[in-house]
Amino acid sequence: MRRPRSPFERARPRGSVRVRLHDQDRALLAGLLDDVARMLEPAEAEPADPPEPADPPEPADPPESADPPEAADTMVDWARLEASLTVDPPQDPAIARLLPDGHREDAELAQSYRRLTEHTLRRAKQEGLTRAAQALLRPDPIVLDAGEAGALVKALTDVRLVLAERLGLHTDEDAGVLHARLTLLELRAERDPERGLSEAEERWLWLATLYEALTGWQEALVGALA
Amino acid sequence: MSVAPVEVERPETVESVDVDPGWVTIVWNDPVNLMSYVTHVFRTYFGYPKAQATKLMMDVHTKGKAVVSHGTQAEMERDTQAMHEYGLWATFSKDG
Repeated sequence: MRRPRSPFERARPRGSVRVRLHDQDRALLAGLLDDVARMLEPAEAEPADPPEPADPPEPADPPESADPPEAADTMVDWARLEASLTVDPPQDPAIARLLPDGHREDAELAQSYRRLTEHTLRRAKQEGLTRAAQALLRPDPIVLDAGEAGALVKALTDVRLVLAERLGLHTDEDAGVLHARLTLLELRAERDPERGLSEAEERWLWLATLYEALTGWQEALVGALA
Repeated sequence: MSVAPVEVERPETVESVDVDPGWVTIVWNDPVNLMSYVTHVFRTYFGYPKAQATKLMMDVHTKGKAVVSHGTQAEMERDTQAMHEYGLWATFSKDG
């Protein structure tokens, strides 16, 4: 049997990599990288002002004291200030895995780390994902320079982390079971086409197949960079 | 000949909480990152030689975690952020 050619090969100058993926695989991969870049877009910021109340407020009683009315306007809204300084971990577990806590035990340190770094980390990942996706969409033959190859090997990690979260891979054992289950499902679909696969199984099969393909591609890319 | 005592101007001691070098960056095992990739990251980012990078990777893989760098809190936060950029699961903490 002929050994399939490696999808990534070392090129010159040092650190450059020739991409030998098929066109449809390149387009698929570029699409996945763009998807993850979009997922990293921060959630819509809270509106700056609270929504207008539906009913006009009761007319206020005339002020009893001689306090200047401006006093209320200059008061700091501590609750809102505090909220703006607090960055919660992302709700989507896949994004939370891309932007993890920096400290395990100390919630305050974890919070201050997130406040200082999350924005930069999101931007850096988005830029890397986009840079790699654009490079993959160049016309053949594609040679990635060292910067693009570095962006792609990180970007492949980000996509694999997202897929792994969707597949529920949390332990080394889960990762081992994935391959066995994938093989079994493929066999069953092949041997018993009448029964077919459920929608959930189809979806799982697609994600798992993608995950395994990306794992192979990343292994090849790391090999070409070593 | 005598020498008059010279008034030495001492610089003000700078109050800083960030000179304690007793902080570490820890990389934790996860089921996704490839052994070859983790070694690649340790070599690329920290500049560790192949043998050291491979040993740290094996510690992460077999012991569940490894201390990958030492320094001040700010330095360890920077290393943690870099590991997060690479997609590794890292934290910083006080050593010991």
